[in-house]
Amino acid sequence: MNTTATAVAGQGGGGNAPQSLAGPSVAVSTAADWIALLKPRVMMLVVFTGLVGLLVAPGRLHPVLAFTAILCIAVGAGAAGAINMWYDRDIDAIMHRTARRPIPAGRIAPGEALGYGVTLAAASVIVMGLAVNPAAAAGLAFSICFYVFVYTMWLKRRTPQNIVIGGAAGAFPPAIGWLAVTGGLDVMPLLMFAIVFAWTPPHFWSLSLWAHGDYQRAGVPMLPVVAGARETRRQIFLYTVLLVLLSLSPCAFGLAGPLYGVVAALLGVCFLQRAWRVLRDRQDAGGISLTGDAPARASFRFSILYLFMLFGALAMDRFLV
Amino acid sequence: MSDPRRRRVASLSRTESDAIAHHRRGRNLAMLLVLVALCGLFYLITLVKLTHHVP
Repeated sequence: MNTTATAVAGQGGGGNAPQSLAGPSVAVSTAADWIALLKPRVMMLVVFTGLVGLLVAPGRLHPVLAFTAILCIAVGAGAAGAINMWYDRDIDAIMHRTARRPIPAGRIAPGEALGYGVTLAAASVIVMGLAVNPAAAAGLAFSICFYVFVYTMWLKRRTPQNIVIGGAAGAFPPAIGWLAVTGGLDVMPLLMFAIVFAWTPPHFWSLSLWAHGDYQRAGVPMLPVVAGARETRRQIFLYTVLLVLLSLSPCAFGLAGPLYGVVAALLGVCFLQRAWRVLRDRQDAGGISLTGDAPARASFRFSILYLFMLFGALAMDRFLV
Repeated sequence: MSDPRRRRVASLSRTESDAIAHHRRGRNLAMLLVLVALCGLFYLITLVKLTHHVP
């Protein structure tokens, strides 16, 4: 439990990657490694969108139960992340961006990570079911299974549409937050789902534009690897247009007020501007950026701010208007 | 002692053993805090369910 030889790294679920990284003879996990296994940065976004789903839902949930619901969403998302790291440990060891994660670095044994992920996933669903309601628990279980089985195990290594379809997993939290309050679904949680769903491709493809070397080495068919950087830039722009239209739809349906409408429109213009710069980035004949993918990096950073501000505006709109 | 991981641990220097013990204490403390927090949360959930007649 406490020590793990580095040789355990690199025997991942995909099973076609070379073995291990160089490292110390004995690597020891710390509490921070077990937290890192839960992908805390991804968890923050999931928690925030889930919280907004919970806040904009009609009705009230006792603060203790609301806290429990958000905690379950966070732990469930983290558990899915841990199982993802267990399955992808072979390709994580190859990619520079992920090589220092606890499993490929040899600080946590793969089996321990899997047990940790499965236990937390089951616990989060059970507590959600017992403390909040069965519908929210079912939604959480579905989102964990979708991320693990559909995205991680099925799509990620097979199709360049991996993050388009798999992105649905990250879009569930607002709907789960809504389910926690109401026990059912409506138009608004479906729109929130659609917004995060459409947000995922421009967000991830911007990252993959400059990290495509990593994905290529690992054999992950991300869009820039399969279709090239030029086509990826075009797809980023198209999905950004779709995202901006979807972000305005709550106003069109009369489900959000002018505050949200103004913020969504302004953010949409800013995001479109960045996506346009990505599309028009100076590039060679093969579509390789001559600017070090500076516009894609800017677009990636802005996409995170965009989602936080958009959902923040939705929550504020609910309370101020 | 046939497990290679156990053999590797058995051949550690004093400094490495101390470092491992230090990390283990950190993890145990973190686990204690999580368990105490969970007990508090379950207590509060029970209280809310009973006093507010939430199903």
